[in-house]
Amino acid sequence: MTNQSDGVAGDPHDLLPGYLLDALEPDESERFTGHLDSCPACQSELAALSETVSGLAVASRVAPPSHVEDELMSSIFEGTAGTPDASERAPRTDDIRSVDSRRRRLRWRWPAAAAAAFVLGAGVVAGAGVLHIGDGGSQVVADGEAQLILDITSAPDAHFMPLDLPQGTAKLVVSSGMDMAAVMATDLPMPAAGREYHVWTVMGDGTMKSAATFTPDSAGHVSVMLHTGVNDAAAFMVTVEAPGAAHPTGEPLAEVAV
Amino acid sequence: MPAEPVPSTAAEPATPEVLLAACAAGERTAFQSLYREFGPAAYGLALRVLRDEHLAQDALQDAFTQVWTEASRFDPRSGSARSWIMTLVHRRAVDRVRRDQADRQRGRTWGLGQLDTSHDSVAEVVELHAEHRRVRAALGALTPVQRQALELAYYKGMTQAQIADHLDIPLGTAKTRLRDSLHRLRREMEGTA
Repeated sequence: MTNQSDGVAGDPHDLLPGYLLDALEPDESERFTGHLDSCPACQSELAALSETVSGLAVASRVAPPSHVEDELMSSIFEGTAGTPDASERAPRTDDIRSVDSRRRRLRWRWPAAAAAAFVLGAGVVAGAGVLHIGDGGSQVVADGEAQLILDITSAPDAHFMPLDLPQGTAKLVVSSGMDMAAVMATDLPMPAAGREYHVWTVMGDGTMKSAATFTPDSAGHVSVMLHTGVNDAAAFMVTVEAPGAAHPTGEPLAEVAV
Repeated sequence: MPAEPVPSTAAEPATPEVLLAACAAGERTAFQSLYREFGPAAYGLALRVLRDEHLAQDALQDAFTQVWTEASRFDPRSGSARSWIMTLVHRRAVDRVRRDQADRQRGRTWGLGQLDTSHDSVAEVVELHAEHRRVRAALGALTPVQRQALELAYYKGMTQAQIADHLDIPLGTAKTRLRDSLHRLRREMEGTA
């Protein structure tokens, strides 16, 4: 620990524990955050020690009264708290539409070239090299997929698009910079026995590429990488298929234009 | 369907980090899942710091509103979603403590003697679980002065300058105790994880 010439303020590194514990005076806190931006050592120390501090935080659990959740949800979702991003509205219950109304909307949104896409066959593409897709289209999830999905979602240019599945809520997150995309969903119902969800990438010329297959976990959660690049894509589409389908046969459950 | 079980065809369960990303995308169900997962820990922490159910509920609501509105600012490189959320909760609670202190406008210090008795009213509903025991054990490994400084800061919302004043020790000593306590705690928690 070196003493700095300004003996009053001292070494900014000394402020890290106080910062983590919210125990700094406002001026100290400003000084530390100013220092933090340019100090990788403090950044990594902060990340590591913050897990220790949050261990302290979660040690005592007390179930909050249920009215707190009710008030929180209504204040957030009924307008007073705003939305996370002005360009992205939270899905509303009326977003669960009939297939017909979704397809009407789709025609309006899709590039013309993609509109004729359904009849076309598709090649299976092994995409970004992180996931491996078998000849039959079944997928082997590589280690690190979860991290990669996080990287996509936290990319500076991450763009979230709703996938209007009939049940559950799903988003496609795309990073042009990474040329990658992922699908995340919650409350998704299991497909019928022997079927799986299948994501297709619709190319600009109308051809389709198999992008990913998935089934939700028991809680209805999904997070899965797409195997195709995204920068040449015109749209994405989700169907339910028999495992290993080479081209879409089912009714599109959701489509989104890029 | 292939004859052999397909490894991990089912997507991985959503981690808190993925749920936060979904919140950033406006997913209400993801937010609800996060609230249900971290609400009890968050409320326990707020109660511990504020020692008042109504203030703690306000802090809880404010912090989770912030989770929702600022989810896109979460950066997984600077720590886990759990840390990020609990930091927001702690900051809300501490801000409230400081505001009350400023309102009273007197240099009244928080007596350490309150520490182990004042939250008895909620102790009976505290769910004792493995992590709780692990943290208690880790805290037990600190020296008494380290533990005292840490609890004054984290659970009482005192600044390190207030701690120095309260304990009548130099500021540098207060800082050192906080730093040493965190490092010791980390070693203890990692050793028993």
